[in-house]
Amino acid sequence: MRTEPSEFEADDLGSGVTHSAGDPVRLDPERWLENHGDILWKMAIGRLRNAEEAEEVVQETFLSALAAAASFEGRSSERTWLVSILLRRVADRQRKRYTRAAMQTVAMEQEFDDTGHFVRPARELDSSPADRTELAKLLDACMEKLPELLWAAFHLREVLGMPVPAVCQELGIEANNLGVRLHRARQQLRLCVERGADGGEP
Amino acid sequence: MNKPPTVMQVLKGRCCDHAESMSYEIDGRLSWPARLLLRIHRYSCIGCRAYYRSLLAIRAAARAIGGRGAEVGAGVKTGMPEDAKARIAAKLREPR
Repeated sequence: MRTEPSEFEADDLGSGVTHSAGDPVRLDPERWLENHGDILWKMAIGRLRNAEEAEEVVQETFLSALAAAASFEGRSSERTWLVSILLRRVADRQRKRYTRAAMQTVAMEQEFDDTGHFVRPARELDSSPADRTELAKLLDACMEKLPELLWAAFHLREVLGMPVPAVCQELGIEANNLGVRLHRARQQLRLCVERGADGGEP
Repeated sequence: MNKPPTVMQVLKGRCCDHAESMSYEIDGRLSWPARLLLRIHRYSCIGCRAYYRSLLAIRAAARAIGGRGAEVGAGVKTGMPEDAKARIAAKLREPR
């Protein structure tokens, strides 16, 4: 049986949003669609690339959240909780679609030597308009392999071009937390795109 | 590092630290002295220079993906279509 993220897990997604112990967040299911529908949709369709599936996932998210509402204690924001449910649903669908090769993350130690300098200079990716289309294809493939939390941050900030405060608000996290996620996402994507540009499997 | 680096951190930083600083830089979250120090470092460091240009190239490619949102369906940038909202609202109203 599926279990929805506990609030502890939901806090992992958005630990930046804190609430005083005496002021727990209360769920307001009547307004979920109005308050959170658009952002859940943007994330679902950005990840799944299919309007029908995106609609199903958003609907499943709300229904799952309703079923698990009794376990919500108000320690994280409503949106953080809903987004975490959505991302799990999206991940489930993607697992069914294809077996994903795990993102091959290259540890920092491999990229930098003992003195903290690059072991080898990063391959400079060309951003000229002629090459941008090719690069966008590679990036698209690499984004599919990002872990959900990093993907969500990168998608909202870089693909949709939302300002940092808006992304923080949508994900229910602090700017510093977002900064770390964006750095990790960019680092993984750069390595993945670099492999692809060199003719390897992105 | 879980917040934007200070000027001193940039001054004393190594390439592995600058990699994270550059991510903050392109999000506009570095102070101008820290940005200046990073820029000076990039003049003399081929690795960081290439890294920074790659981050900018990735940003440009990501925006290109965002710009072709219409190809993957309605609402990528604007939000959920009204008809989808209506269907979900109806589903949520169903007795359980």
